[in-house]
Amino acid sequence: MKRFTAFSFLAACSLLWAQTSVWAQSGDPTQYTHDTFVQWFSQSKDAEPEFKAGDVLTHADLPKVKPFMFPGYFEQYEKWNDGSLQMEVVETYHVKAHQTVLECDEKYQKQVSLAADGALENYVCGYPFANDDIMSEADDSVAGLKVAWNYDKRFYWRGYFVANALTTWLRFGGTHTAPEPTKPPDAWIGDEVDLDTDWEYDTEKIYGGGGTYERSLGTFYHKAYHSQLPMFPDNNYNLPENDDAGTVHWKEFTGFFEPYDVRGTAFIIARYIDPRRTDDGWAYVPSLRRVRRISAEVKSDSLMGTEHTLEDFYGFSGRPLEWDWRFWGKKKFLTVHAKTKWDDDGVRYGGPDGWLNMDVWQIRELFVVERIPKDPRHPYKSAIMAIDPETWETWNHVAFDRKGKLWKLWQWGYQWSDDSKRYKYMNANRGAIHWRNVDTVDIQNGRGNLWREYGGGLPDFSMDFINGLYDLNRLTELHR
Amino acid sequence: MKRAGRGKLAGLWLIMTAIGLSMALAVPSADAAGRGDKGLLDSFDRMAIHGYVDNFSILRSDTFKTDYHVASSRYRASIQLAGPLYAMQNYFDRFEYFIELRPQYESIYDIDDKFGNGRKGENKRFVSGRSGYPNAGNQGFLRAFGLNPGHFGAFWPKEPAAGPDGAVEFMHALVPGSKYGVAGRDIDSRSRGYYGLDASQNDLRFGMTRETNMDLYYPVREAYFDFFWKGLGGRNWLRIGKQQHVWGKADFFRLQDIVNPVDFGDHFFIDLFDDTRVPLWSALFEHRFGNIGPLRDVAGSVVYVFDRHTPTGLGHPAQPWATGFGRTIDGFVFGNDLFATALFPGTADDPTMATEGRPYLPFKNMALYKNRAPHWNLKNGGIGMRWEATVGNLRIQLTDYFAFPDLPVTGWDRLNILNTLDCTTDGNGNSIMPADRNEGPITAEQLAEAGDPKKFHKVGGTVANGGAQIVGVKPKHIQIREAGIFKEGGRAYGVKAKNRHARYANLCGFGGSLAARYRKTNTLGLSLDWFEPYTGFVVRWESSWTTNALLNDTAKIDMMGDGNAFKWVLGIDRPTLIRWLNPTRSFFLSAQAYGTHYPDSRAGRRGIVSENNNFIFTVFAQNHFMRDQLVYLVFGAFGTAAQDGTTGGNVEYLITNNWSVTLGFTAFLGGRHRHDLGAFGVFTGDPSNPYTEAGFGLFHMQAGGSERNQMNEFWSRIRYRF
Repeated sequence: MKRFTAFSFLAACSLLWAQTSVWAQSGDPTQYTHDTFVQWFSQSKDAEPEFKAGDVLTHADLPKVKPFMFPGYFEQYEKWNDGSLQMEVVETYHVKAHQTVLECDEKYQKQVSLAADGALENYVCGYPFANDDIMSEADDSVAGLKVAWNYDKRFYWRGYFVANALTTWLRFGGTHTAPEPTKPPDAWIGDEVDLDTDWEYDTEKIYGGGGTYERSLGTFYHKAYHSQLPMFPDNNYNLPENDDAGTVHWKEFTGFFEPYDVRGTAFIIARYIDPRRTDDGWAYVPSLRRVRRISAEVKSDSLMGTEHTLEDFYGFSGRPLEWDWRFWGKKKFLTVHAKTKWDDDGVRYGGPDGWLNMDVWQIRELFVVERIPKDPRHPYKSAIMAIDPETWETWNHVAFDRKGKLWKLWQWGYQWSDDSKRYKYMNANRGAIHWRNVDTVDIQNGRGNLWREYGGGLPDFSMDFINGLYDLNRLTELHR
Repeated sequence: MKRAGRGKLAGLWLIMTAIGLSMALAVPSADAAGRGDKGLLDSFDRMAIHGYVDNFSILRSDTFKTDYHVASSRYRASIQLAGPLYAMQNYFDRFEYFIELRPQYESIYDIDDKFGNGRKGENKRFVSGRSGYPNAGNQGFLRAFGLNPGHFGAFWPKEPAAGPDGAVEFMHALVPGSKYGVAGRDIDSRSRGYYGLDASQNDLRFGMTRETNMDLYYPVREAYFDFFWKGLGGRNWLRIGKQQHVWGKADFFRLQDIVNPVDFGDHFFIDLFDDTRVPLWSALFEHRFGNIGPLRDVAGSVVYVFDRHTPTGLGHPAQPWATGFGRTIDGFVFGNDLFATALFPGTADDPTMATEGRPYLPFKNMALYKNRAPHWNLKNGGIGMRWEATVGNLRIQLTDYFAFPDLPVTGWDRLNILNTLDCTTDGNGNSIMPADRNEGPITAEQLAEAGDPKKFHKVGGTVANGGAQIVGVKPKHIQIREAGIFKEGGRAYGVKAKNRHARYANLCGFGGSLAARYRKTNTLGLSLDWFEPYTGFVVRWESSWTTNALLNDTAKIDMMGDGNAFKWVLGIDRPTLIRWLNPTRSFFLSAQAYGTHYPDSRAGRRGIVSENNNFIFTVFAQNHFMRDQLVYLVFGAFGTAAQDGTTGGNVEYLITNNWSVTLGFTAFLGGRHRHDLGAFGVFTGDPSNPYTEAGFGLFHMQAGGSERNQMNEFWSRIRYRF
């Protein structure tokens, strides 16, 4: 009797636990919490896919996909139940870093270490830590910090150029008219890139599915690395003919040129090699016709009213020392990453809310890492990122509000630059990934943003262009 | 002058355009990397066309209980064309253009009879904003000269004064037009007294006013070419055309930002300077050196303004937003014609109009009669330079600008002095005129004769003061000395001891020929900003030093003095997340302290019209909601010396990418401040206590509060952008 009672009790508990797990991931992402993710990860960490390359998964196959997608993100595909969901699975596409990166790794990885406060020491170039080193690290927080530093130092050739990172505000439900990308002013793009030849986009096909598009911003973006560049061993891995190399890690130029109310607004941000040094920032405000010094330190501030904060860019573009990191482990995900079937190298959107991927999918093993802000006033309680350790870019990441509830989801899109079909002259032989889209939704409020690349790549801009673009005096040139 | 000026400037614009186009068409295009075989016509494929159409309306009231009214309903369009010109590619890396056309239509003149020429009949007593309707005495006075009292307002109608009316007023016009039309006056001072007073109804209706610098080439607001090329070891930029130059780092204040004037007649200082700053024909050349040693992003630029002198707009009195200064200037110009005719009847202003029974009387003026604005020539243009560099954490800007200021100083060309013994003698029978002591005093008998025309001139006429004549004298020929206090005929001819040094002018002065004057001055400016990482503050500093400026100083006999002026602003900005108010978007918080110091001048209720030291504090906060679809801001400004202030704010809602609506409010808080009015003191009704807000009293205003609650407003803007 006692055994029966005990057994019944245990069975009931098991059922209850299983049901709770189901409840926890019951299809309503607005109720998901951090624990939902902990449970999901625990249950599916070692899951193996029941599908293979060549399969085309439909809505009916989604239960097979569940272990390989973040909670909350998975439910978005569950909503895609009109019969048009087609997830074409391909072979995992393995990539290899550029030879110069591998040389840096071989030469310098063994000398890199972490200071007491977590800062990198003796870092020169390449990835600070080998993947095996991370996997074998016993302390999750140290492993997480190593992931953070690898991420911070990920290889992006010499920097990134996007003629138009068209930003679209969306709301769940409804229908939309596809936005049209336009080219930015000549003053920003210079004459070292030819955008005309490949500038042909079928936006009706790109912006499929549902969703209400409220607004769009034309955004020009450029990032230039100044230091720790593997391709310049003869110049101490610094950008040649650049006075800031050796001090500045990178500079970013972001300029908005559409619509009229933001046209001409531009920012220059400088990040330094010294991880403890704060960023410097300047903004040109067209209504003032002045360059203002700005504080780039409120990184949890929304950028231009989007769902991104300043540090959400690239998955994480803040400073690692301002966060605590925890490595969860390595796990298989079903991703759209590093490969596309579309001839414009970019994402296509679909689904009932117009933001989900329509492309080829592949199983990839990703590092899952959690970052917790040290600032108790930060809007996030934590964020979890799924990072590809081959490309060192993010596939998905999620953020939780202060109450621990799921708040936002991101899907990131990258293309292996060497496979680019467009703008080959600025993408070939880079051995690097190049960004093509990021899409984020605020789960709690049913809204989000699409950022899609038009005319981008990893060009070898001349020092003349770099020095010109990042000259603060340049910012006042464009009036509207 | 105006037609000649228009002709010259029109010619200059045509020549520049012709040169630019000729060069563009004549020089063959060459292939440039990234541009391919593009020719000039390809440029138009890259033309960006942006702009907006909007309606801006003001609801104004003193109390918002019974007297609120629509004070403006202005329709405006801005069409901006910009883009590259694929020409001269052998010489320039980039060749670009920008044109803004900004026509407008102020409909208040057509939808309401409170403004402009719609004020028909004498029953139009309503006056919007400051001022009131002329009192009964002045109504009769105006009618006597064939003028319609409904066309005039009167400021400070409650000025305490002795006399039977119990009030003394300064009247100004409320309708546009080229003349005041004072009967018996041969000339009309409206076109010569100050810029733009003779604007027509259509000038105001369509914004073609002198102060906007759009009376010529309307509706071109800005138009310039940009040339970029490498050379001289760096990068070069030449911008030539009608443009704005923005220097400095202060918000709301113009210390280094003095190349272009602003037009306060649009919406005072509530609108952004980008909208109210007046573009001028000028050239900018900038050379970017790059990095030099520890200096980063070094650039030096030269600016040359070859446009005609353009003042800061104070508002035509018929405009909805005529400020107190604008109405004051009109009041003094109008008064010049009105009182000159009243006090010197039967005389001609113009020698060609003289007859035997109507002799010519020179210097027949009582107030502001002339605007001694700099003539337009290349020498009178403004020239300046700016240097910028980053040093460590500091971004520094050094400027120097040598030009005529955009606000005048008013001073006497000649003073009218009552030719009575107590005014022209020192109580002992010795004349206190002229000032040349070597010659000794001139006796009253000598004064009665023609005298030395170089030193004084007998104006003639009679006044209520015992039938005394008025003598027009150059100020430098007047000695100010203490006059005795004595009585004659039951009237005191003296002033209280504390007013002793202004006694002569106040007691005996009776207006004169007042002119607006300008002196070319040099202003050196320094500003810098830095980011303080521990507090997260961006700190801004801006300062300027103007040497040998012409200042209004009522302690001087001609009301003009010299002095240096030091101004400074210290500002701090900080984006701050206030999560319980807005969890996702930081507040932009900003505060500034502004100070002015005149080291060489005496101030108070007499002397320079600003305090020796005065301070203004401003605060500003802006935030966004609804994913930046809703933007709101509030601001406040407070002046410590004047104890006045302005507060306001607005909320903008972006309905779509194109449509937006903004609602705002502005409130002015402050009291009256009085200042010595010199030879106009007799008009205050108590020459022994000749302080009034009229005229220089207004200059005590610091943060706009002198506009007081008579200009409080709600405003709206509906805009379509493209």
